[in-house]
Amino acid sequence: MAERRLVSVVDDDEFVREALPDLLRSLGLEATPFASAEEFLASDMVGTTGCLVLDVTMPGMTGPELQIELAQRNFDIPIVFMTATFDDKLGEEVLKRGAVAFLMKPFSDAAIIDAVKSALEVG
Amino acid sequence: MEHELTRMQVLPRMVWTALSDGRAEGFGEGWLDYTGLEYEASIGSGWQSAVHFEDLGRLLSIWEAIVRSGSQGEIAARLRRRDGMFEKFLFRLCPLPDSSGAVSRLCVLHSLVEDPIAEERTGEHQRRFEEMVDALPGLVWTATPDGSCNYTSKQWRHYAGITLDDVRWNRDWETDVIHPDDLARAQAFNRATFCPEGVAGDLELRLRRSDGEYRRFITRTSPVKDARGQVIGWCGINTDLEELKRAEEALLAHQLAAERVHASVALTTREEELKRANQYLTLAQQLSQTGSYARVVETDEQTLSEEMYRIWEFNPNEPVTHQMVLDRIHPDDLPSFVATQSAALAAGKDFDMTYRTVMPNGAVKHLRSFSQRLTEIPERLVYVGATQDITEWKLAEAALRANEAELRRANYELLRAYRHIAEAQRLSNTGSFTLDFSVNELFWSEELYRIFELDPTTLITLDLVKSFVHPADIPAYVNAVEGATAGVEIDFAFRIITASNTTKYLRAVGHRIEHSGDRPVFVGATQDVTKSRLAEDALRQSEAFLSQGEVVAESGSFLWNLDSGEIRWSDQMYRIFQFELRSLITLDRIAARVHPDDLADMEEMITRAHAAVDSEYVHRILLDDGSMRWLHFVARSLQDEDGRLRYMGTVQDITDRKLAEEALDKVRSELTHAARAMSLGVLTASIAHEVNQPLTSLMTNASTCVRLLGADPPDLELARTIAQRTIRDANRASEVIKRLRGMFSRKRVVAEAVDLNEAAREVLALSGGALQAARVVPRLDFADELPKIRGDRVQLQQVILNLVLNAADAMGAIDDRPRHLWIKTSSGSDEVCLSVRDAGVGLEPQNPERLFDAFYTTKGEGMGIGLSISRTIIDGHAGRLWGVSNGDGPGATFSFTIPCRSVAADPISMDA
Repeated sequence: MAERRLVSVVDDDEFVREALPDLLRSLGLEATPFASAEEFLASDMVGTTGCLVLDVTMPGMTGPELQIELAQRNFDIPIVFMTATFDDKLGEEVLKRGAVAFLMKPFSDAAIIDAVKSALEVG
Repeated sequence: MEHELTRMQVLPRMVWTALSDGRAEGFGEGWLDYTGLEYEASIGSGWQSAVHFEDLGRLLSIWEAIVRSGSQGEIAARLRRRDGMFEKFLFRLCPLPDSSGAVSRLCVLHSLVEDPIAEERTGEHQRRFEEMVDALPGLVWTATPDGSCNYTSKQWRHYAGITLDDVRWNRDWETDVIHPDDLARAQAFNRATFCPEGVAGDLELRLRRSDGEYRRFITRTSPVKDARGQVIGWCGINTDLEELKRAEEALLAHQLAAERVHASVALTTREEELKRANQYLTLAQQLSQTGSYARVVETDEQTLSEEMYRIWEFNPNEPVTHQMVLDRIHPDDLPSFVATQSAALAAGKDFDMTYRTVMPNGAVKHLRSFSQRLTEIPERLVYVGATQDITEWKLAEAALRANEAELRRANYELLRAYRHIAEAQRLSNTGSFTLDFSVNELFWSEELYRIFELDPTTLITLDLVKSFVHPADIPAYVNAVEGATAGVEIDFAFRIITASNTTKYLRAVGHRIEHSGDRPVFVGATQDVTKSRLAEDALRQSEAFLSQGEVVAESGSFLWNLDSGEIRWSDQMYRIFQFELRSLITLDRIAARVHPDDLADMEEMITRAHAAVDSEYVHRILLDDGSMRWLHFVARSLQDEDGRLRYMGTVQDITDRKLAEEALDKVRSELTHAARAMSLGVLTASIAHEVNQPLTSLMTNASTCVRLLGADPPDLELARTIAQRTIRDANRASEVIKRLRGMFSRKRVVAEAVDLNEAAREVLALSGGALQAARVVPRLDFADELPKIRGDRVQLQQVILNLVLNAADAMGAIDDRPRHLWIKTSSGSDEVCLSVRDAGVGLEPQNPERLFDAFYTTKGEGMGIGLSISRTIIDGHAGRLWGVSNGDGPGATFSFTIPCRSVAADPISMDA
């Protein structure tokens, strides 16, 4: 599935939305930011996204809720979770549900690049 | 009401009916004519198209409220005329209950707004009116002609904790606010006042403040009249009398205390006078062998002293008549005696006679009488007089004549003494006696018989007297009688129990006048002192009680006579200063005890005392053992009747209270810190979130930048932009740290000017993560240009944080509605308010104040000290903190107010 190289970044923090896509683009990947889970769901990119980089805590629908919602809609998108608040129980849960990685903010460029790459390979 | 009906009739028939949900059923011609609308276009909700769109929302919400309340109401709204112009109408909505009592339809009447009262109910006028009323210092209200309250000033609503909706639609709020005991009086007042003929009136009653305390008010009610003099409304102002009343009560208590002291002084004075009179009597009898008498001329009622009986040789047990006196007069002297006396009596004048008497055994005596009219009883002719046996003097008349002037003066002095005696006897319940031990017999005056409740013919013996003496006083009586037998003067007090079983306190004083053989003879007086003894006992008890009270209250009292320099202290004062009881007190001795740092206060107090200015100080004293006591000194300047300056006051030992206060401050400070540390735990996650967020973008941007520079060719332009972003991210992270530093340092803070909006924004920035985790959505409604308040910024943020976290907790279990949290700031004329409203479970209705008790908690975790400490902090800022369940939805609102202070005001100093 090499043609699905689009990475969607969902985070309510606008600075993360600015920084992460630029990093991914510097690797030659396509990257699109979304400010909320709802905004992502409403976009026409759900079907073309090859990897979802998803923040856990957001106003409105949270990251884990989006994961469940996508599964219910039968979208099998590999997800890389990131969170600024440590919660290993939640990490276990989302990984069990099929997430590729659960990253603690702040993370190194190697960590996010590895996670995104392995997600795209899974996809 | 009447004039409004008249006005309705003048207007076109603007009447229509509608269902309770607002759908119109039918219209009169007036409506159709005015609006130009077709009938079909008006029914249903079509009529609403004729109402100005700005007024429609308000009209409909009031419609609903009226349907709910079931009583009629009115509202102003603009209606479009058929030519498109808008005019203001007063809509009167009259609910028409159906047979079951429910409101299913309404009758709607319109009248063009003309009169000023209706005009003021609308729009700009209404706002201006309300602003004006709100600016008045008292609790102001207005009412319709029938007395229904239709507006209350902001202060009134704030005081009673009510809203304008309560005033307009909840008729029971007044009943609720008035003290139950005053309700009947208030209703009677209302019935009498609120009528077309009503006049202004005042009513005193107790009104409940929002915190539950009843305070006394005077309500002044005045009618508002139109040009024709008809009552078109009422307005009133409630003035808080509580402080005044308390001051009056304190004053009254003072006066009562002062009267009690005066009464006891008066009693003592009277007793002393009496004692002196008794001494006069004894002395006078001893000196002069002069008898005294009193005579009421009209009734010929004569009262003779013992000596008088002896001189005239009358039987002491028989009443003496004037004829008996005349029978004793020497026949040669009788005409002049009668003439002198008759002339004096006719003129109501005093008289002075010398005459002879012939005794039954034929002996002739020379007597001299001085009689004076008792002018104190002007309506009756009463004479008192003294009669002296001058037989021996007559024999030595020549010798005496040489000293006549002196004699006259002596006589005059005597006469004065007798007048004293006569009045003293009248006043004093005193009987006199003669005790002759040679015959063991007592001769009693009538008064004594009366005191003992005995028949005046009874033969009195010492044993008979003894039989009346109270068993406990028998030894004293026997002792006194034995002493008297040996010639010792009689002076002792004893009790008797009379035939009517009354206990009387008597005091007997007797003087030995002669010896008959080897047995002494005494004359004396016995006084019934029961009344003064009882009063004295009561006084002694109340003095003991006061003194005990001083010990319990650890307060002493003092009186400083500035003219004489004399300082009088109560016993407790000596105990407080640890001076020897009743030792002489001087300012120097006091100064030696006063703490050196407080001596300046004492000097100022002395200056104030001399300037007749009251003083109040808290100062310290050092005792001999080196210990220090805190004293609260209050003194009042007084001037006595002679203009002498005195300083009177109390000194209370408040050391224990002071120590307790200090301990409490310490605990409070520790608790504040504990609460903050606890919040810190809750906040850790949030802080991590806040710091990690900028770090994430910082690290990502740095990595990107490195990659861009390492590419071939390097994209320098983009690398530069991204490098700038890293600087911005770093600043953002350091901002978070800066905020934290300010929030968690524990130090003594001096008050600063605080912008509550800014303080709240910072708290939200820091707690944003915690709120997000709790899925709470904060909504801000901040007032523009909020005045700054003076206070401790960190403490106030602590309170806001506490309220915000509590609100989030309260919504933890809410899943069926959004977890909205509103933070609102607003400012009044003299205070700033911040409210935190949640949509959570609300408060327990029973007792919302319990929330503010320390260690009261509704949560599984948490110590229950957050609100308690918050209230302490707000109290420290002279503000109020309270919580109420939301009336218009789920959840609760906690608010606090802080008074605005000018920046020049003294800073509040407090321990953080």
